[in-house]
Amino acid sequence: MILSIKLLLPEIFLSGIAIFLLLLDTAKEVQIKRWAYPIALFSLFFCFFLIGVSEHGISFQMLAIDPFSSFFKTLTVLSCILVVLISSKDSILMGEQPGVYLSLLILSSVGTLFLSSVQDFFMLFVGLELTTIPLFILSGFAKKELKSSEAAIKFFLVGAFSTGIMLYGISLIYGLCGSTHFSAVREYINLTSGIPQDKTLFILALIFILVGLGFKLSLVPFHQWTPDTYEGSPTPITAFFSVSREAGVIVVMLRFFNDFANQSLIGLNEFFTLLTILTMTVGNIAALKQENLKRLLAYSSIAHAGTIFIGLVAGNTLGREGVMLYSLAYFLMSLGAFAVVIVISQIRKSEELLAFQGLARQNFPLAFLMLIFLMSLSGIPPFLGFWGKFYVFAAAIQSKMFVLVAVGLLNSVIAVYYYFKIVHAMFFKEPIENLTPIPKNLNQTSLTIATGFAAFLILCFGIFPEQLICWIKGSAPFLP
Amino acid sequence: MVSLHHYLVLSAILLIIGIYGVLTRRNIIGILMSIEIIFNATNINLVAFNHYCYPRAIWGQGFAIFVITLAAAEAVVGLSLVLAIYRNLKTLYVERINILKG
Repeated sequence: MILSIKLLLPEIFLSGIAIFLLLLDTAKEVQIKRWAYPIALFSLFFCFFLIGVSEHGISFQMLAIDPFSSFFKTLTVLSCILVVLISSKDSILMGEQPGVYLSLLILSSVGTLFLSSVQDFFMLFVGLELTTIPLFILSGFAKKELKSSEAAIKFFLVGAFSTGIMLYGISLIYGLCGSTHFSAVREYINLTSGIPQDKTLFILALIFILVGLGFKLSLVPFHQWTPDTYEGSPTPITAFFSVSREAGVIVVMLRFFNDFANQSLIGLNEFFTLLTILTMTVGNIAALKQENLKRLLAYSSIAHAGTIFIGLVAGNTLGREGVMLYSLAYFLMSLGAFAVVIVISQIRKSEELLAFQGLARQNFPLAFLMLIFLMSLSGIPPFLGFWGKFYVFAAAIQSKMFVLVAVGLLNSVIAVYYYFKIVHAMFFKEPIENLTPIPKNLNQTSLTIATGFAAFLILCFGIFPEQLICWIKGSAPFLP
Repeated sequence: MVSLHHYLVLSAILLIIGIYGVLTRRNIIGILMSIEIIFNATNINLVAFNHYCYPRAIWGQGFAIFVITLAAAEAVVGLSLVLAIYRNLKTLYVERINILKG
């Protein structure tokens, strides 16, 4: 009991801080409310320490705290810190109620922390809800704006519906296996190779769960809500979205589905392959004609989810490492790109491609940072994004899935086009005259630090990936 | 005598009604209600499996209680979002909620 609680120290600590921040917002003086920001940042940094010192083991038979979960926990906390930094000057989020905003952000991260070590469908359900319910509120945080409310309501309806579908699948699994623990499900698969009726029901249950998770991860037939929600939400929240939601679901998929990707469950592997190919292709082709940067990044996030999925479908150790590496790379580059979009949209009140024209002449460092993020997103060699793609494709080749690799490579080529459309606009076009010029000195310390840090990591790990790959290889094995 | 199959058929029917409602309702409140029906189908499944297949355990019932709690939490957030959109738009029909598209 005591040990179980000790294993969960980071989650417990962050939940406590979230509740404290919520209470802090009831203060009358604005001065006291302002304290929420440093407290949140400090406690998130402290959480790194807690994750670092926490032991490994099984907590309450439901959560496995192992090197693998520590890796994703570190990523989640890191992305949460970056989001707090890039939103520090946002007038809507940090305006009247900074405590509410920060506590919801932290609670949502706690959900992802739980998800990173799930061993049980019950915990999967609770963790997913803890991640998404704060996100519903956050995406509708600008309550006077119709766009934001619309984004929130669309996200909410799809999110709640997919949770319902997934729960129905879980209830069927409970009926068949007598428990919702992953190990019980594995035993069940090994035992029943005979009874065909049960097998059909089991596959149906898995498909229900997969559809539910697919909505959350916005895999292709279930992706329609993503661009709308990304466009309507306040931009820092969009950045958080693209990272946290993806991380949680991908970890769950790795933990649960990786085990029987290679087993003879009829059709499941083909089903995954089909989903992956559809997700990459549709995401990239839809991104081609987008003029709004937030929408473009939304479609590109769908495409990236598809590419990450290749590593999962490959189903070997290399694939698992590839997924981890790619997630880290995607976190950094997507957060960085969104941070630049935030700067532009704060000054010019627009996220259209037109607003980026001639950025290089007005503020070269900003354009250069965006260039780094975009090159990394399109997977060009010296940057971290390349290593992610490289590992994932290598894993697929190792499992002899050449069709998947071919489609993946073709998609990378398509992606270069729309990323470089932005680069072209920034470097080779004249700025539009009636828009406010971007000043040379941005006067945004924390945002600059966050963006610079992300770019530094992308470059540093891109050129010298040995350390990172060592760390990932050490974190790849997990407890059963 | 009511058997497990009766409950399973009931929950399957509820699930289908719920999905049909989500797909066809034009009012957001209607969609919310349909989603609640799906949650309740799950609860019936869990409790019935618990009672008939694993009578010694209580895990199904415990799970059902968690489902009810979290469905309530979700409904609270959902209704407040509905309120927000009603204040902005003065309508709750989904075909009018259409600024974001493309």
